[in-house]
Amino acid sequence: MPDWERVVSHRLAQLALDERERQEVIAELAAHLEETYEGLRRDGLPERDAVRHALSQVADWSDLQRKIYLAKENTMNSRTSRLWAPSFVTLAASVITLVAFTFLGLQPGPLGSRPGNQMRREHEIWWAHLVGGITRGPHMVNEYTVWLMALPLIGALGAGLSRRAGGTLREIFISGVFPAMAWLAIVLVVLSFAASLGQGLQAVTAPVSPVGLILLVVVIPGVCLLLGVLAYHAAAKLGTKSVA
Amino acid sequence: MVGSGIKRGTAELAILSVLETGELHGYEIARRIEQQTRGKLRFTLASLYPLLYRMEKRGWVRGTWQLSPTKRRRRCYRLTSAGKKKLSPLRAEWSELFHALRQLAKVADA
Repeated sequence: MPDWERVVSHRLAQLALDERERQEVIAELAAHLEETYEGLRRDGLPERDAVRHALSQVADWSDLQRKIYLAKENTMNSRTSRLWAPSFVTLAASVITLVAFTFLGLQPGPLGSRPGNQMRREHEIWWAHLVGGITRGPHMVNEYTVWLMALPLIGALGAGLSRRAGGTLREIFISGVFPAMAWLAIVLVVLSFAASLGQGLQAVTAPVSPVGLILLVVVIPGVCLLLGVLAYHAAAKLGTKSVA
Repeated sequence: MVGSGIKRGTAELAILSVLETGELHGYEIARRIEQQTRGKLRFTLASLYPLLYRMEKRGWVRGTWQLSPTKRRRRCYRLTSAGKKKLSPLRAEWSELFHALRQLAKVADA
């Protein structure tokens, strides 16, 4: 007979309740599975079939985990921990890493080279400085490109926090890509504001067009974040599929 | 077999009804409901526990750990006074609904 507590514990590994409550849920579900299994054995089913039949009561353990979490937790608090907290952690992490890389002095230039001060003067507008690695041509590395490489980790972090709190698939994805959504809102506000003042958008977004700005500040980082979320989600699914 | 939407709606009534007779643990709740409805209502582990926990949060049932005669720890649920109060209007609501549906069926058959 399987160790049912171990089976359930493994499958509800991400259940974000306090430890005592989590252990109680595991013990209760394990007891249910054990009784189902024993009933099936008494009915004459071979051990292997009885185990399979008992486990077939739960088609999706992640979904059950989420439902139990929702049932046990305060609704408003759980929404905060499932969506808003991971989203703002992701946003904060993305801003902090960007600022950190900027201060670390990863200057734009060909891969492996150290650009001079002249290049620095060309980047007086902060964001233009950040995106210089891409707008100045291929094979360039700067804080923007290094930051892009860090974004999948940040996306995975947001997804992980949301999933651990029992987030739905939608909440997990939103938590992971939230920074891109926030930047989109900021870019749209800035562009609208510039347009309403009658200033040319090009003056605000130089050296790229407004579409280019959205691409560099929203779409590309968003894709990087999404890659991290997808990777985390795939890894988490694989983890819950393996049978103890 | 009853459709899943109706089952969801009747699930709370079913649980409250079987607990009216006394304390039961989760597996026994599921088994009693299946027996008493002749298999029309079936609870799996996945459908039963989230519902039980929600009902517990609402204060309709209370679970406590007990030792079974075979020395196994089982969490047994019993109706609270709030659950008992809930049961009566819930029964009336469903009875009214089924009565209305029967009327509709008669009209359709006629």
